[in-house]
Amino acid sequence: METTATAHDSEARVADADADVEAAQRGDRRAFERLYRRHAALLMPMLWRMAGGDRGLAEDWLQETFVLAWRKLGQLREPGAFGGWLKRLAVNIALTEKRRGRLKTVDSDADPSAPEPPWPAADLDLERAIAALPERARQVMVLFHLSDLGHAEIAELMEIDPGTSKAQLHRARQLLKEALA
Amino acid sequence: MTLDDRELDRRLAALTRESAPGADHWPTIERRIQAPRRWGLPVAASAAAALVLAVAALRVVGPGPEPNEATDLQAVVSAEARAMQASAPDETDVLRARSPEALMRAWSDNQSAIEEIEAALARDPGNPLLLEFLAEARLRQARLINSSLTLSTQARMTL
Repeated sequence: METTATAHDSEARVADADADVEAAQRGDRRAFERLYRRHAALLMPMLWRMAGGDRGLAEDWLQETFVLAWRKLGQLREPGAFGGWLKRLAVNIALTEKRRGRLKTVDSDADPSAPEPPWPAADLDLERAIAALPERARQVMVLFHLSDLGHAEIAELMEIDPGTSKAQLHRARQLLKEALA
Repeated sequence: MTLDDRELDRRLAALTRESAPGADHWPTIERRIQAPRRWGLPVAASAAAALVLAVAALRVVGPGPEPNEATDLQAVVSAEARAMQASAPDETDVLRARSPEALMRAWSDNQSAIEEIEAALARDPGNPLLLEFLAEARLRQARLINSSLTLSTQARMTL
């Protein structure tokens, strides 16, 4: 009975989420706000790590992602794919900004050599070790291990060969293992 | 000596994957998206969607409504379709498409609508409302072809 109720609640949540996407596609900003509140928390850790621990930069990317999503929402054909589609937008923004050599924002309270994640970090050593990785290795590490993307998708997003993605992941893992030994 | 692979995987798996941003960015996002949405591409798609919605509404009623029901339903569906189409700007703006990709998407949406209507007609042959919708979808199809020909004189395009 509990399993049935849980499955029913889950289905209802999915239906609500899809309805919000469709409403936002028709221009409903309140529906889009609900999508923001539902998905911002899912993007923030990924963006913070891709920004190497620069919280201000990660939050800029987060805003850019939702503004771009609003403009491109008409291109999304499957409401159920909104989460994955939004994640790709966010990754593209982060990677494009990096390729353009965007200067980091100044976060005066942060120590760039010891970034602190904006959530209760159970493994601060690992978070800081990831933040300290060379940029390409860090991006692949974050996208593969922490955002559940495969090497083919990472390669497409980063405009590299899948073999290069695998090599960067291997490098990232080696560096992390050495740093945390 | 380095960390064990399994231990690294265990620690990676335990990292936070969900955390709300420190500040509420919605007010800033809302200000930036305040500019009216440009309807560009989806107008043809929304008009096609209006047809699909109307067909779906007819399906709910079933294959053979009584004459009075058919008249009432026809009025409701026609009103609904007109309202949805009226909510979008002049379709010809979109059919003067800006890109082959936009035309392809509009074509695909219109084709889906035609297939839905034809399937409904197979169950309810001669339904006047469905026939009207099919005629409109075919007319839209012809306009899309015309738009693609216009576009191809400016740049190469293959449909």
